[in-house]
Amino acid sequence: MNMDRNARISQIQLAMLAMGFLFGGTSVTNPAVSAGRDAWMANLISQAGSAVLIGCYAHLAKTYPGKTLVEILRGLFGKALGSVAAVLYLWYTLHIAALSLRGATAFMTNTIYPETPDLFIAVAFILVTVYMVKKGIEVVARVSELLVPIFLVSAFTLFLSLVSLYEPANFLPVLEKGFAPVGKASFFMLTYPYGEAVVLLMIFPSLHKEGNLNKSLLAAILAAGLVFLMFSARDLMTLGPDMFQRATTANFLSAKLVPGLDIEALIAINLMIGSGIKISVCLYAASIGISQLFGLDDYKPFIIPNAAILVSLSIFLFESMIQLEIWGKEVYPVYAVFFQIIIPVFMLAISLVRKRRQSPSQPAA
Amino acid sequence: MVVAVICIFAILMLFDLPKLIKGGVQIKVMLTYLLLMSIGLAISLIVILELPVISPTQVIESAVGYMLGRR
Repeated sequence: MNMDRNARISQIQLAMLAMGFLFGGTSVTNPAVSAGRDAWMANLISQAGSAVLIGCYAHLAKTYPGKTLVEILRGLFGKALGSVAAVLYLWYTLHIAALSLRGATAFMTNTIYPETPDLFIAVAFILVTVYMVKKGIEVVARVSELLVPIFLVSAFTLFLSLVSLYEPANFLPVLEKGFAPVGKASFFMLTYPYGEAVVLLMIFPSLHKEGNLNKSLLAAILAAGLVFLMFSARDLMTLGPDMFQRATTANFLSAKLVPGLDIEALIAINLMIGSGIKISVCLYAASIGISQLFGLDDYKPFIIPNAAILVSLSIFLFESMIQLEIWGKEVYPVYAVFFQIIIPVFMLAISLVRKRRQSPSQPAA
Repeated sequence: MVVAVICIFAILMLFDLPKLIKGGVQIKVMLTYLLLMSIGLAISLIVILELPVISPTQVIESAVGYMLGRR
């Protein structure tokens, strides 16, 4: 039924797509910032946790080959309850896309284009993603394959160009305030950005050889983890622990400190790459999900309506950037746990129980 | 501004609908399309008119606060 059943993306394309998705808006906001000096530890812990969590998603995808999240939910929970869960996931997908869009537009209007209205940036941004998604997931994957290396190169360039300002003593003392801030930051990072990869369950059926799923995702987690670790180390060593914790856009501030060069535009480029890929994936996932939910043949008619909802929702959700930041830190992790951990783990448990009950020769439903 | 928003949505629909009709899509697709467009238009109008409608994030915040026993 429906979707790009013929669309096929390669292992490396999926890895790049997942990387771009995980990078999202992290080129501007550092999710481990609340751990202060111990942000590196939060990065490593959350990365280890993400390997388990995303491993669960991969296991689900492998148990139900060729099925998207919506189809898996309906298969596991039945048509009625599964549809309710699918609607919640579709909301969540659009919600994280709207959050990402709002974060990107707010950054642009606060730092680079202060005279430009939020709406204009949001519309300009969404038009490109609509065009990509209309062309299909293969195009989004190819764009990721092309742009994610640019993200990586510019991130490394920025890291190396600040070497002369690094103060390794900023890492010390370790665990000055105990383990609690590290635990909290690790948990936050597990939900943002790693856990959001649950949306990728809508994309996995497009992988050319599903056996390669684990390799692609592992590569994405390793690369994303390394980049996040690099961001934390760079910002901490250049800004110092106080400024690192207080700054809303620590990465941008670090970029401004590069001696003799004006390369903070790289941060904006990275933001556009990461957020662009993330929003495209979410838009695709939401459109496919809606078409599957209503049993329709094509997802493309729903791209523009979803994009219209996304733009208006991104402005409607929060009155200010500060509100978005507080909500993101205080409410989002608890809200996201429901979609990222509780339901997927429950799904995994049901599928394992069903698998045990079935005879070994029968495939999963 | 309200007129501008309605015009934008009308243009989007004018851009999409002929293709949908020409493609002979199912009636369900058309209804779903119109439903989603209506939701988009409604949210846009809420934003433009600054209507005192509770944002979904506030609802989520209340639910999370209730779950954590903060209220």
